[in-house]
Parts: sequence; structure tokens; C-alpha cells
Amino acid sequence: MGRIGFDTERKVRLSVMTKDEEDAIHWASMELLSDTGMRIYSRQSLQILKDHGADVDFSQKLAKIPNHIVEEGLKRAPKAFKLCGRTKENDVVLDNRHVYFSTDATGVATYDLETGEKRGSTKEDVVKVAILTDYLPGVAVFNPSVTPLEVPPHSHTLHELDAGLNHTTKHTMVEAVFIAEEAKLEVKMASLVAGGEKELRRRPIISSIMCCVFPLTLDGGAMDASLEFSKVGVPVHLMSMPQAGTTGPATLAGCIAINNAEILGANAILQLAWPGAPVLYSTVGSPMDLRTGGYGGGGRPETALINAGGVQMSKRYGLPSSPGSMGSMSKMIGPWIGHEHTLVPLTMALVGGDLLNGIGMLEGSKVLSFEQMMIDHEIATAILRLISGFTVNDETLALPMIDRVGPRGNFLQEPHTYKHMKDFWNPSLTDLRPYDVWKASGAETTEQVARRKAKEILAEHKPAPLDPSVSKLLGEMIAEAEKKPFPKGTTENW
Amino acid sequence: MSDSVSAIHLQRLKDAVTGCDLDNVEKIAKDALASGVKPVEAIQLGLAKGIKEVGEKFGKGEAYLPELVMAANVMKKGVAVIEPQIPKGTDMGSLGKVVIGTVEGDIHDIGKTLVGTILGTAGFDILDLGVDVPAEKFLENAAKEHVKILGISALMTTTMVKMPDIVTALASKGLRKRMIVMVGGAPTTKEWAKEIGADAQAGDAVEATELALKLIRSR
Repeated sequence: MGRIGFDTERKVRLSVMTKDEEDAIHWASMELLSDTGMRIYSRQSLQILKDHGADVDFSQKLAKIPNHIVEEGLKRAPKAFKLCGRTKENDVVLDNRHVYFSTDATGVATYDLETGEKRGSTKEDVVKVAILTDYLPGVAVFNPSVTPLEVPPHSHTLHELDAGLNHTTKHTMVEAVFIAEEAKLEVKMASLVAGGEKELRRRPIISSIMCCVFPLTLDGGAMDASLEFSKVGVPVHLMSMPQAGTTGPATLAGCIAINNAEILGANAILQLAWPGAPVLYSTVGSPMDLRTGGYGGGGRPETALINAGGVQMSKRYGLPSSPGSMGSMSKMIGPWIGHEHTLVPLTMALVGGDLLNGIGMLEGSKVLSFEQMMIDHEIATAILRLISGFTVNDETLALPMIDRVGPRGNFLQEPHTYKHMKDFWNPSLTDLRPYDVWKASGAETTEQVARRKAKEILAEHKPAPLDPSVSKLLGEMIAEAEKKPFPKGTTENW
Repeated sequence: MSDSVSAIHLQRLKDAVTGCDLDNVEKIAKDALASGVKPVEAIQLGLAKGIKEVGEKFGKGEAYLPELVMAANVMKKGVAVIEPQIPKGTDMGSLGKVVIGTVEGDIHDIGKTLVGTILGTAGFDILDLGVDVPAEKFLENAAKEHVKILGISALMTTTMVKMPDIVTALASKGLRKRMIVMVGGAPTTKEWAKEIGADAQAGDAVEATELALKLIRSR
């Protein structure tokens, strides 16, 4: 079996900046890191930087990071690696040639597949996302989408991880780990499934997200957790989310520069501590809605531009990327969300993004819709098909055949047509039949088809289960951890 | 001083706010006082009128947020010049004190601060406790000040669970009925507010202000 995802030579490569502009962003980021500095609420991160020659003020939690440290971090970061599945055929190869989609995280509500009502999300929802991810060929990575609200808050991500490990053979991302102890436990859980810590390092079946909230600021707990992940070779998505106008400047170049600086700064710390730690350049910027102050994320042209700029910078450094792709403030499925969920991921694919996220979410990634997940999968596969392009050679030019068929002929009966008839992307939700036929067969809307198919998959698809004893142990580890909260992460109070 | 001269100064003060004239507002305020405009009027009929206008425009979607924030800063700068001239204890016509903050363990402040700013433009007196605020600090301030509204913010599912603790603690201290409790932040919902015994939940700052005004008036 070949690799999942599409093999593409990326013949079309979109640029949103000239080489000179790229240089300008790079040097602006370097200046931000060395002159303005970063506020870092992780004592060990500051110590690592200080040990390597950064100018660190512990009382201000401020590190001014000289260029040579940032460059060293870039040199040490691996330029290609895998996000492994539980089974090898589901490995995601981040090598600049393949493009993939993942689900998104972590919302708090779900449109119930049976009642159609929006309600608080549950672990069962997370499990369903894992099963659908396992089934859908265009979704390569499981990101938990929603958080189970019925379990103790400190065990949210443990349950999300548990759902992924148990219910899909694809790679699982863990979201929002803010405490080192929590990270250690998740490494234990993943190691159990992978067959030991050494095996986990060789085949990382999980990756973690380290999200920057404030400009030029790294959360203490999140950095400490990331250091734990890097220590054992679990890839970390260094996610920067500048909101143009609040946590980033209102101008896109400034946003891209601050985004770039945050990722390079965090990368330097992880690489100094654990050389060769796999990291992804995760650019998830978007404009604020400066009319209201609301989250402006989603399929806006500026979202595409900021993140295209980010991906372009990741290409410059040779770092694999996981850019923010599908997003919308749409409250429901409909035409509004369709164009948004196409505009940004298509741009990301064209500019060279590796792992594009966001499948299945509404309302600024807060609400999960299984129907939307099916629709987004349709969009994703179309985008993957589009960027895989076409081949030009004797076989595909087919001149002898055209000559034989001649003017006024047709190609339907030709063996060449038969041979290539399955080269085409086919929709699985869109109805291509004439109106009368569609009407006579029940006149299902796209949303209804999506719901029916999601239900069918969930009823029939059984992902390869974990060894029952492993599954049981995972459950026991979580039950134990649920008893009392983790010791508080290092926040600004240390 | 004639009424017409006073009117010109008041108009200038109002225009300074609506026009976001950060550079000149201090001079405009000093000129007004020097010309004999009453300090209380300079604020109420000048600056405050301006911020109210911008606030209303913002509510209608006609003004942008940075405009509102800038106007509020102009107002603050003007008030700083005028306020020392006002005797302590003068009734400034405030709608009441609002205490707001982000719960313990949560350091998100943009939305919460924005709600404070816009409630301020509507005429409330705001005490912003900042972020990572322990329950005790909410209680302490809710008890001490003459508080009409307590606003609690959280952006994470893992921190919003602190909200019911604060509401319960208010009740156990007999403070709950004295004030309106409002919650907000991305993961919160109307159902959540009901479940934890809060009076209201708002999805954004404009809704928060509308609800606050409605709830205050119905008391």
C-alpha cells in the first residue's frame, strides 16, 4: 500500500512574498527576539536560554535571544520526519512533498447526530471523531475536535488521547497540555501503546500542541510540557495565533513577523534542550473583527495571507508546517462555510503547507458537526486532488489514440479511456444526477447525505482495536489521574 | 461666562472624544476649566457625552473597536485633568459599580477588558481585578465595594469550572442577592449561566452591555 495523502511534485507554488520580503520578515523576527525579547513563564526554559548565552532577566521573566541561538535552533530542527500512525500504512510523512488534512481542536459543543441539537460535547463525540477519522481517507491525523465536558476538567486531554489511541489507527494529536506532569502521563500512555518509550521515539504515534496566547510570550506550563514531549521525541506543533489588531499588529507583515518570532523562539528552547526535537511550524493567525472585538478567525482572505506568509517562512527554514486552514464563524452548515473552508486550505496547500487542520468545526472551532466533517472531507480530497496536478508524457498526451479516433470521433470506447477512468476525483456527497432523478429518489440535501453517510460509517466501521489489556491499563491510568488534579503548572506566579 | 461660551467648550470636549484627539484633549480640558466651565459639567456634558455617542455607534456597528478604545483613552486623559477640581463625594451619575475579572488559572484578558471598557462607556463605574483572580479576591471586592454587578470571565473549559464556586461562595456569605452576576468567555453559554446560578451570560461586549443595562433597570 502506498502512502496516505497525495504524492505531489508541487508544481504550482504560490508565494505571497518576494525573496526580499521574506528576508525582511526573517530579520524583523530576529530583531524582535534579540532586542524586544520574549516573556517566558517557564523557569527551566529561561535557564536553558541563559546557559546558551541569552540575556535573561528572571525577575521580569524576559529573555533577549541573540541571533546565533535562534539560528542554532533552526539548524538542529529536523527538516523531515513522520507523524506515525498506530499502523504503518497510516504514517504521515512530513517531507515537503506530501499534503495532509487533520481534524481540529478543541471545541466545547457538538451538533448531535441524532437530534440535530447543539449540546455540550462528550467523550462519545470524541470517540466518534476518531472512528470517522480512521475511516475517511482524506483525514490523516486525529485531533480531538471537542473536549469531553462530563469528566473532571484536569483529565480532559487524557480522555481525548484515550479516545484517539483506542479508536483510530491514525496519528493522534494532544491539545492544550499546560502541565509537565500531565505531559509525562500522556507520554506513558502513548508509550504503553507504542511498545515502550524507545519505540515511541522511533515511531511517535502522538504529537502535542504548544500554543502561544500572548504576543512574544510563552506559557510556562505549556513550555514545560513541551520540553517533556521533546525529551522523548514526541513532535510538538509550535502554534502561534496572532490575532491582527490585538495579539498581533493590525498590519499583516507585522503579524507574520511576530508569528515567526514566537515559533523560532520556542523552537530554539526545545532544540537547545533536546537537539533534533521534531517540531512543526504551526501558523494559525487571523484578523480580529475590529468592528466588534470578536474573534475574526475563519475563512477570511487575511487569514489566508497571514498563514500563507507563515508557511512561506517555514519553507525558507525547511521546517514542516501545520497551518490553520479550515475555519469559520458560521453557526451552521451552508453556503457561507463552504467557501471559507475552501479558500484558506486551498491557499495553504498551494503555498506548501504540510498538515492542514480544521476539518469538521463551526463557530470559530468551538462547535463540532459530524455533517460538516463529511463535507470538509469532500473539500479536502478535492484540494488534494487539485494540487497533485497532472503528468505530461506520451501516455497522457495519447497522440496515437487521438490520431486513430480522428476528427468527429469519440473516446468513450477506447482502452485508453478505460485505463484512466478512475484517475478522476469523484464527489461522495454532491449529487451529479439530473433534477428529476434526484427529486424522484428523495431529494436529499447535501447536509442530509452527509448525516446519513456519517451514521453509516459509525454503525459499520470498526477500527482495529488496541490489545484489550493495553486499553484496560489506559483506563486505569486515567482513573488514577482523575482522583486529584495535577500540581499546578508554572504560570506567572512562580 | 455666557452659556454660549460654555456650550462651545463642552462641544469641543465631546468632539475631542468622538474624534479620538489624544494629542489635544488635555489642552481642551484645561481651556474649558480656565474659561469657567464647571468641572462636573465638563465631564458629564462634555467628555461623557462623547464616549456615550461612540459607545452607541459601536453597538450599532458604525464605529470600530480601536476607535472606541482610543476614545475611552482620550476620555481618561481628559478626566485626569478635570477630576482633581471636583469635590470628593460629588454624584457623577454613575449607573453603579461593576467588578470584573478572569478566574484563577486563566490569564486571558482581551475580552474581559473590552467588556469593562464598553460598560464604562455606558456609564458604569468599573473595577477590573485583572486575570488569574482567586475566588477570595472576587468575594473580597464584591463585599467591600458598593457593587451592582459582578462579571466573571474564563476562556478555557478547564477554568470556567471555577465560576460556580464563586457564585456559591457569594450565596453562602449572603452577598448573592445584592448583585447581578454575569459570566462570559468563549466556552460559556446561557445554559451554563443558568446551571451555575448566574443571572446572565453574554457572547460579546455589546451584548454584555445591553444585558447589564436591562438587568440594572429591572432592579
